[in-house]
Amino acid sequence: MQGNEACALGAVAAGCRFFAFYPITPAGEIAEKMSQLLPKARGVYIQMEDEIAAIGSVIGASWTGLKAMTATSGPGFSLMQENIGYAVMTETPCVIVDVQRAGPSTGIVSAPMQGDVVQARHGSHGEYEIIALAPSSAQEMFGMTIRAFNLSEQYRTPVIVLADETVAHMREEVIIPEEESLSIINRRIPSSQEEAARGFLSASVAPMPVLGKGFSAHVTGSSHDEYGKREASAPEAIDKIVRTISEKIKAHTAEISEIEKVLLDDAKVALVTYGSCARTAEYVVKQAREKGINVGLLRLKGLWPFPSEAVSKALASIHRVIVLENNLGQILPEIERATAAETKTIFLPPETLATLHRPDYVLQQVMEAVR
Amino acid sequence: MSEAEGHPLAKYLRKGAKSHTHCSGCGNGIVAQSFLRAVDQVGIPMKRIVCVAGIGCSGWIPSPFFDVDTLHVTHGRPIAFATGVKLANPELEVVVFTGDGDCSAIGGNHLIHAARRNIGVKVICVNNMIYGMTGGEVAPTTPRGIRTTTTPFGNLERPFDLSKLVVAAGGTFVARWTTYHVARLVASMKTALNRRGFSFLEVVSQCPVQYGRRIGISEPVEMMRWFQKQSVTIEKSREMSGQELSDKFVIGEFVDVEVPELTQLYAELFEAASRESN
Amino acid sequence: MIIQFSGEIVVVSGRTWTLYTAELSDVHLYVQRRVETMTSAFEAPKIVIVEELCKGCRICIEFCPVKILKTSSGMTKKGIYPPEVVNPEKCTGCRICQYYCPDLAIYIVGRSKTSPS
Repeated sequence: MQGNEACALGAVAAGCRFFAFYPITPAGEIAEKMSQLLPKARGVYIQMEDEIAAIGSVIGASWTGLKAMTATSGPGFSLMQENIGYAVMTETPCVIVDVQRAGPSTGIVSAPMQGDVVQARHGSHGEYEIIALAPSSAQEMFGMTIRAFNLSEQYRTPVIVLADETVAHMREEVIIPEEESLSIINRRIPSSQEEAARGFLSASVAPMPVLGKGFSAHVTGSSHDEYGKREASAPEAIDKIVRTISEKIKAHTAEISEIEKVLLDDAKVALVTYGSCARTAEYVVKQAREKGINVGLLRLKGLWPFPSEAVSKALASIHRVIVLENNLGQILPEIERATAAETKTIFLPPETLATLHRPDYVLQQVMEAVR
Repeated sequence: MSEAEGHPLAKYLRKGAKSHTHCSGCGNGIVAQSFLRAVDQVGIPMKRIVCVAGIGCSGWIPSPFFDVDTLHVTHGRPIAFATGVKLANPELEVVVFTGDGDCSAIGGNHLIHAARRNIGVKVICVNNMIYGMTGGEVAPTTPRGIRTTTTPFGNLERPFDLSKLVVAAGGTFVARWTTYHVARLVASMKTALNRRGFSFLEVVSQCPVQYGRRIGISEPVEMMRWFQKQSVTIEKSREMSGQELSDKFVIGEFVDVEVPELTQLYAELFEAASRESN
Repeated sequence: MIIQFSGEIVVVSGRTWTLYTAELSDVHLYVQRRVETMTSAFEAPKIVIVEELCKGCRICIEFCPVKILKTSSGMTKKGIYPPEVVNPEKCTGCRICQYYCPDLAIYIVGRSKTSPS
């Protein structure tokens, strides 16, 4: 099945019962599938008037206790940033699928690019942390969407699934496991008024006082205390918020952002990549090994919070790191920072942006790096 | 029991938030009390009410004053958030408090679509004809010619007639009153709370500090008397010319029709979808 | 008994009148009941002014139909002059002051002259 379709199946399997959308290529198939699946599951599919309303209604729905998602691409992702910041500030679980396409601006609607990586991290104003996952297959479009929901519920945060047009539109075999075998995480809701009284701001993730249960929750994007009470005059309050909700995520980087190591143990050269570029990289590693070159692959499955420790360890004995990205270097600085001074980092975009790397081109670069 | 606690509406107020920060004589307080009176008279349990507030002085009506679930959201977006809340849990009574700038400038798109899709959200729009919170900038509802902080030579643009806008967008209950007409305002709020569909209540309200001052009516009482004098009912307005109406507030209930509400339609869809798959 | 808002609000000599329509028999009944309640022993209700909440906007003072509120001379901690009651026995319990107050700083305890309870 198609990556986008798999994403929709994953969302419903994770328990998503609210999906709001504004039409944009190349995310359309996610919406079409959700509009077919949700009514049978008594879930709401709604097409809102713009992306801002889509993410706004998702946050509103999440506050009633539902798992909620929206999907978009670059231009819509840009519009959603203010409300994503609101979701971060109010610790609202929700999932945003950004099927990246060639940008900036209208760009090319049906060509892949990885230009929203830094935007996923810092697209909204203010200081905050975010979780972003990078699927690289149709199977991962299914599995990572479920993971996105789990992470959003566990850490009470918006989670971005940073897909790209290639992964979204590719058709591959997807294995849908039995429902019982899926591991689903749900947010904690206060069990009593006393527990509900403190509904916000805990580095160990406060329970969420959802609406309509008599909690009289006060949810605000303004600086607030742990009771949700607005605290807009004391800088100490915003200091506490920014540090607490950032720590909430940063402290769990290892559990949140996974990496995949392929043949790194005896390698002196490694390809480091994510998303659709990883497919080319996998193939190149295979080809290079056949030629007797000891090259390995480090695939980033989670981009933010950036797993510097894990990356650092994985690349500890690598001499040459070749970073493959379909942009002009967005995750590159993080990799450069995480690798030892002696490790040389080479940045390798595709010969033509908005296309996949040609395997021979990459192989050629690998062979030169080995020399 | 303190004196403040003796007020008949005290049970609706959050402990520790017994006063709000609106200016002296601000119409927002009158709207707040009118709403609480309407809720009290209709008898909606507080547990069922969700208030969604925009950014602007009107946002401070429910937040943090009312002791109910409150979402104080981003500027212009309360109607979008409220749509999500209502669709996700149709049992909730979702009430939006917004201002003229919040709902017709930045939030205009959400307003007309909520009216069009007849989502059962009740929108109370406090129209003070200015951007009060940010210091008095011209708003889409400011009459022509008025000098504001950003129209020092006089406003060149024509203002919206918000109620007319919502009627045109398909609003199924649209009413306009002023803060002077509290009895009518409470009555319309009760009507809105008792019906299922989308409701839009425009309340022309005094902002003595940022608007009244600029038109030479700087006392709250004077502004309310001005509303009293300048208001004409819908019936009366039909006999008046455009010229005569140009500086008047036409008050009354413009539309009140029964149209299937969106969450009702979703419920029917769920039934149909589950029957299909069986 | 049905007495309906006619849809008209008129201003005559500066006073605002809300017009209603009804059947004549209903009007008779209404007047009879009103006379009963108005002539029965009426104890003037208590006016409670919460000074800490008052912001001195004077709306209650100006709109009281029997003009029994006036600005006091004592400044509150908020720096304003709240209302005080003169001739409390004249209060009809109409609650216009209560309903208009933007700060819930004034309210009436007791029945109004025209309501049965």
